Amino acid sequence: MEESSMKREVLPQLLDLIPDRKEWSLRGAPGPGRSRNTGFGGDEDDKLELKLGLPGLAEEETPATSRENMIHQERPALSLGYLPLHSMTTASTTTTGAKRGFLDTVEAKAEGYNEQKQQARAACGKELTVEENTAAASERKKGCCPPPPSHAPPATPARNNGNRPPARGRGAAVPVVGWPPIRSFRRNLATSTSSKQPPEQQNGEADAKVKLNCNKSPLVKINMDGIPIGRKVDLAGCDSYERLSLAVKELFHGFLEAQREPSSAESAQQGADRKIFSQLLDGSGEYTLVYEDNEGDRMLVGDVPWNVFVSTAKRLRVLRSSELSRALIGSASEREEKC
Amino acid sequence: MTYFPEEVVEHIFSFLPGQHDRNTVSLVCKVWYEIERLSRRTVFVGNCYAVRPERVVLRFPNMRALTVKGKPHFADFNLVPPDWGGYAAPWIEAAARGCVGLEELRMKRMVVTDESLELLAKTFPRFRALILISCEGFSTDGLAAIASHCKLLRELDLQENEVEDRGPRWLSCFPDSCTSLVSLNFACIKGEVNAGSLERLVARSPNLRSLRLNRSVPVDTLSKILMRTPNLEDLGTGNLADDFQTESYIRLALAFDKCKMLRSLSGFWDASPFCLPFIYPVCAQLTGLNLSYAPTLDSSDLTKMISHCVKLQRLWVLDCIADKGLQVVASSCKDLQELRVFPSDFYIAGYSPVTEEGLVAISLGCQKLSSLLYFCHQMTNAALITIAKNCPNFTRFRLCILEPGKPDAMTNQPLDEGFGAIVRECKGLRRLSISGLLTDKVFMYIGTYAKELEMLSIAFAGDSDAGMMHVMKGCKNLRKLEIRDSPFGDAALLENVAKYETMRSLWMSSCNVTEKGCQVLASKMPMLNVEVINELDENNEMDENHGGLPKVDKLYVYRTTAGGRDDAPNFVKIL
Repeated sequence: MEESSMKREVLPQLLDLIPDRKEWSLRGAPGPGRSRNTGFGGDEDDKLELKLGLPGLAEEETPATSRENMIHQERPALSLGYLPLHSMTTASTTTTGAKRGFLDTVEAKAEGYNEQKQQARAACGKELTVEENTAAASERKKGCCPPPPSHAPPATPARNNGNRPPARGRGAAVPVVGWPPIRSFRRNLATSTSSKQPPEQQNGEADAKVKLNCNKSPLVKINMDGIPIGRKVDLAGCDSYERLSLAVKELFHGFLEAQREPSSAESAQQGADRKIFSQLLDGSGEYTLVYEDNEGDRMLVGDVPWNVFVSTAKRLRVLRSSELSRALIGSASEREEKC
Repeated sequence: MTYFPEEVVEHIFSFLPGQHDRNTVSLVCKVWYEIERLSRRTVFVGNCYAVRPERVVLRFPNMRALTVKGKPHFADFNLVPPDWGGYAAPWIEAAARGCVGLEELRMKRMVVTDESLELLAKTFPRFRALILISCEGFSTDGLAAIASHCKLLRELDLQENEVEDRGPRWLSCFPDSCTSLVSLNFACIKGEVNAGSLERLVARSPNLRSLRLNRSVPVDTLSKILMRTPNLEDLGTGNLADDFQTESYIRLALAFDKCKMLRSLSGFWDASPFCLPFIYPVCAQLTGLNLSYAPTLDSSDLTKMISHCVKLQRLWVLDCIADKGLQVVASSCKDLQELRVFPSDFYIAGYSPVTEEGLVAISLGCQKLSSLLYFCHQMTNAALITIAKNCPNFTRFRLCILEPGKPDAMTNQPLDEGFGAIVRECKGLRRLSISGLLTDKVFMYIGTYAKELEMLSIAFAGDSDAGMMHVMKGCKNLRKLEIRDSPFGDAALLENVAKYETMRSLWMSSCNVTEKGCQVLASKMPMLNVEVINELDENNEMDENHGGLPKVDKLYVYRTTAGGRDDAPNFVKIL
């Protein structure tokens, strides 16, 4: 037991540089009273158990925070070139994000890791907790490199005690309601100036109308076929269909995971999940995103300009594509009946 | 003292600096209570539901200035559902019945209707100042009523309100006889205004000291206006976009040159970097500068301008300024007292050009800094400790790390020690907002050291009930506590119920409080309104159930003499 865990520790040595990300994901997991230190130990075991594949597979965070940018920078130095693709895909944020020579950071981290490894050895008994960590880890072993790397899915939202947003620490684009704490006035300002058009009055008024609508109904309910629990999404917090699609994935991914057997072929599932959510908008995937507008009509998401969509969408749904034609026809016939 | 004639006592009371002291003298004896209430001119109501409007008007029939605040602070961030409340109408109607001498009305986060504005305009013959901040529910028609009927209007100040645009007519409603304007701020109005009307209005307002235009006003109109207002002290520019030829900017520069009294500048809507050099000559005299509506300006534009602003005391800017820009601020603006750095990219996943280094630089260069609002993507304990030592004079310290629960960027530790240093060193701290990865320890520090703290904002922080309990026990001067997405439950809520009567309000959303806990609180403390706000869902959110008890989505607790309010919508339950 000791020997095998020693061997396994060789590989994760390279990955230990990024322990914190794992911490964040597990933080929401069992028990609000859990302290940070036990989190450390549990994470280490997690890595010990699961990182038997290529190190690259385990990394799929977003090119999000500058902290993670430093991580990306470190990786080339210490993973012996395993993950050049990641640093490339996040190149734009990496170079500007790092605020200090990454070597300094690497050294600082290296010291921390020695401590953690000792904790990990001491905590071998915690391997039993792997079971519940497995689901979280399997989520993380998502496709390693579709550039840009897709979001890390929420870690076990089913076990999330709800006090941290599932996407915390993942740098997801899921808008947490009311966060960051900026007044609507300022938010709307950013979205209307980003188009950088000359201040024609028509545009101003259109923007104003959209802003007004956004203020009044920021949250839109969204349901997914096969999942009994509905969520809400802040359309005003997304600025494009892309972001919306990512947000939808973020919201439901954990539920899909929770519904599946943890022991079944994880890699096959991850591929499937990736597919599900990447083709929400073009109709070619297993699921399609539709919405109900303010007149009660069901429409495919993506046809109208984003601004118009935000102001008219009242409810969203992730439908199985096989049900799609039936659903759209269904709403059409409902309309006929009303006439 | 009671043998003095009332006029003498009243005169003595007139020296009392604030409402708090006047409240205190009212308690001494009935005579003093009567003298004080009849002579109080300025009334401040921090929570519109804490007292009935009729009661205020009855007690202070001679009030001249009334301030009322409505929704809780987190309403600014869409955490309070629309139609929650905060209606201005009862206040304006009560004043109309009992206090026609009213001259000034200030409202914040309230729902104001056009009908109320019209009533206001027509009822109070001496009305002269209307200040609305973060309000909604009215349109430019309401403003037209104010403009038309308030013959002595001196101040019309609209800050960040949601105003429905019904055309430019309202500005033309100021009659030709209106020459009394001192302050006009319509920056939040979205629509056009008639340039000619505006110029004529300014031309006949010799007392105008503060003017804030909106985004629709072009550069040439601004130049013409400035030529007429040499005594202007505070200006919010109109649109400074780059469609203009250099002549327009030269005219602008000439106009600015006339404004020797100008001390404060804001607006900069769609500002082009090319217009900035024409403003440089004014910079040396500025004490206040707000560039936070100008995402079109980059770090070098901003720093070049700010480097001229050697007298600056208040700076609001976007994070485009970057750390190196903040270093320029630190070396140029030695008198800086208030700094706000807003994010240009709101996404949690995004990237921000300011980090802890910029803030450390500011703390080194600007020793007088007392008020801070700083949005960034990363922070470290070491930086916060340094900042605390450099700037012990903070009275307001609000740090927002955009990613919830993010730890120290260098050590991956929680930021407990950093914020601990802030509360320990800054003994006069009155307002604090914390963010990043935080455990119960930070609350222990806050409870131990933040003795003057009046307002605390908590998001995604803490491990257990103990955190909130530290604060409730230690912060003796706490008036407003607002918490979101933190693991505090019934035990914390109920630990010190008597304290809520010493506070204005408590807000808790997405925490672990259950309805049962709220009911216990309500039954123990009849002088509190315990509002449970649950937006109904057909498919309930996953986190509703916690150990079998339904969790309360949003909780708002406030002390009140008015009892339960009768204007609550159906999603608000008052226990």
